[in-house]
Amino acid sequence: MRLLVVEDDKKLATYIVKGLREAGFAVDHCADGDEGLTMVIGGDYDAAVIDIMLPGLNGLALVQELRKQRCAVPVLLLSAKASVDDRVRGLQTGGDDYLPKPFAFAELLARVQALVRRGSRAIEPTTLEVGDLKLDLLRYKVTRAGRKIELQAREFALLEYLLRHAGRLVTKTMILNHVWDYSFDPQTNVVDVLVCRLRNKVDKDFETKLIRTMRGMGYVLEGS
Amino acid sequence: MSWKALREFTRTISFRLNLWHAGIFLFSAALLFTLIYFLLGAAIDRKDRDVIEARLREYHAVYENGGLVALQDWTTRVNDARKQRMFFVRLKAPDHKVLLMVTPQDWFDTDVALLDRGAEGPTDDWIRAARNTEIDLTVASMTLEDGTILQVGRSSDSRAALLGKFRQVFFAVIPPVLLLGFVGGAFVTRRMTKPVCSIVEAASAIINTGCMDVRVPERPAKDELQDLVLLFNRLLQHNEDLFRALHDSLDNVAHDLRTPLARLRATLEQALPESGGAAQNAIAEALEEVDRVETIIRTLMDVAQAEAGLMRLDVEPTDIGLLVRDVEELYEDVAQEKGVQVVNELADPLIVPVDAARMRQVFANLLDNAIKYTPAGGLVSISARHDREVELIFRDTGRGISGTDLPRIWERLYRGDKSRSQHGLGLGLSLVKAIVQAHQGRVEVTSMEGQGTKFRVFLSLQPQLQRAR
Repeated sequence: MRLLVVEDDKKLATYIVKGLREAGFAVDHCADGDEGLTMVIGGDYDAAVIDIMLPGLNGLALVQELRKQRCAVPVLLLSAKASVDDRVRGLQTGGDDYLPKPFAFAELLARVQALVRRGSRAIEPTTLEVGDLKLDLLRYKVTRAGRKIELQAREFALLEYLLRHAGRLVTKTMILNHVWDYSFDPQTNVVDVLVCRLRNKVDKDFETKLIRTMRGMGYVLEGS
Repeated sequence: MSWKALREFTRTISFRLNLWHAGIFLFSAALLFTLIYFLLGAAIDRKDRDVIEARLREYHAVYENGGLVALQDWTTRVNDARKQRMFFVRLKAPDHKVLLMVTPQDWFDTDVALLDRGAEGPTDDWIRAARNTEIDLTVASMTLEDGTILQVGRSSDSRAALLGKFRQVFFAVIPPVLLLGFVGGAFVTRRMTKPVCSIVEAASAIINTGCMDVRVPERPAKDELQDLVLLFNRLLQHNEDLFRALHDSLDNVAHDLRTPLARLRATLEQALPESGGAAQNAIAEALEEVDRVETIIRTLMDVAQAEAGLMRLDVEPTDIGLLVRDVEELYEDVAQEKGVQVVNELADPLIVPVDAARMRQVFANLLDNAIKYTPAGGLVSISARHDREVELIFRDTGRGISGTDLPRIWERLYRGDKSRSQHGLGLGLSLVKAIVQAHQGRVEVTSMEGQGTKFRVFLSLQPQLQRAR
């Protein structure tokens, strides 16, 4: 999977490129809008991460130009601008997704993976498994070491989400978006409360704890 | 509906202007008519009298000089000479005995009787009587020195007939002239007030849609209204520039804050897995702080945008009940954890035109507050009322807000002393107020210390589009 990152901020670019490479992508980088355009059109990329504020051609104009030239590479736009307006404009001009700065790398990765997956649709699994934890998507059943675990709808949604991202970091914002479809920060940490409840059912009575808290970052679900 | 349209129409300047115009026209025409009517009547009278008076003086002189015989002789001669139109002459003794009477050929006896009927009063007078619709009889009388009465008269065209003809013409001409004036006036005033109408249209378009680039179409004319249009457009341009500048500077502030924050986060995220022990804790804490700062920036921007009228609202008919249920679900676990019971009393769907995402944010903030400040075992209830507007009530049995804090809770970053220990940004309620006001609604709060607080959100049922009209 080949990705292009167009970002002029050196520090941020280095971090994004490094992170994406570690996640198994082949990543190219450029810091200029005009150069970015020729690279996307010339290269065979599976997705592009493009900052909106760029020297030369800006991100929005770049995407517009791409779409005009009938280039359908999925694009994730990054922006430090204030408002929802930018998000709307970004998506209207042909961007496929939008991520405001600052962002957690885990979230960027999740979105890039979603974009890449959109192109090549894999067969949906009907059960998700990590260690001795099993989740049956068809029968809505969860078992651990053969023991049935009763979950509420929201707890089930959270567990499914963690399992789908097994071994990878999931941020609170990602959970908030996925489980409640809510994109603002509620002041009280509702995510913590839900994760705590899920832990009580899934991890409490077992030797190996599957859900780990990464302080300051989010949560990871993984087997030992 | 058409009755309303008619009332709407009669309210317009162009209609009223036209009505006044027509009224003044009608009044002055009537005045002119009356004046001419009387002047004409007087002129007809004068013309007839002058001739008769001259003849009266003539006969008088003849009688003075030669007495009855001379007068008799004179009348015969004169009437012979002027065949075409003869005068009526009569001389009466003081005892009303007729001494001499000459009647023109076209006079009948009835005419003399007609005259006598009107001539019983003072003799030194004029008598004008209508014989029929076409002929008037005019007679002048004069009492002579010896007491005899000399009367001279003749027939003339009917004054009434002449004036009648004039009246006829007037009443036949006025209605079409008035109608023409009214229609023409309507056309002209409509044309003249068109700039005013387009100013109203432009203003309401801006208020309704929020599009700042609407302008009033300019005309080639160079009158005061055109000046008004030009000035109005300049004002709009000025507003748009200010608006854009404000928007841009907000964007720039956000950008300048978010970019270093993004770098900071990248640095910290990179450092976290490579560190250990105390350093790891410190980095994790720093990351949490970055999150908090980002939230503050975002909320501050939202408040600033909403207060400046820059917030983009996707207003659509939305079931408020559904939004409240969403928010209730978001906080369900938190409330349960805290031992606070949340009761949603909304039953029927309540369709209100709002931006769903923003309104959900409002409800989330209010519910968050209510749960936060209500102790275990307490109750939070959400209910609604509606008649002309929708009222949503968030009531809690928390510790309440003190009288000194109450008026200040809407201020940015204001936190009452007691709430400093709680998590939160002190921006939640400012955001609530700003978003609700951006929806043309309002929020109110009442609180009893130790008993609880009641927040009320009022929203209009009418879409914004109609309100501006």
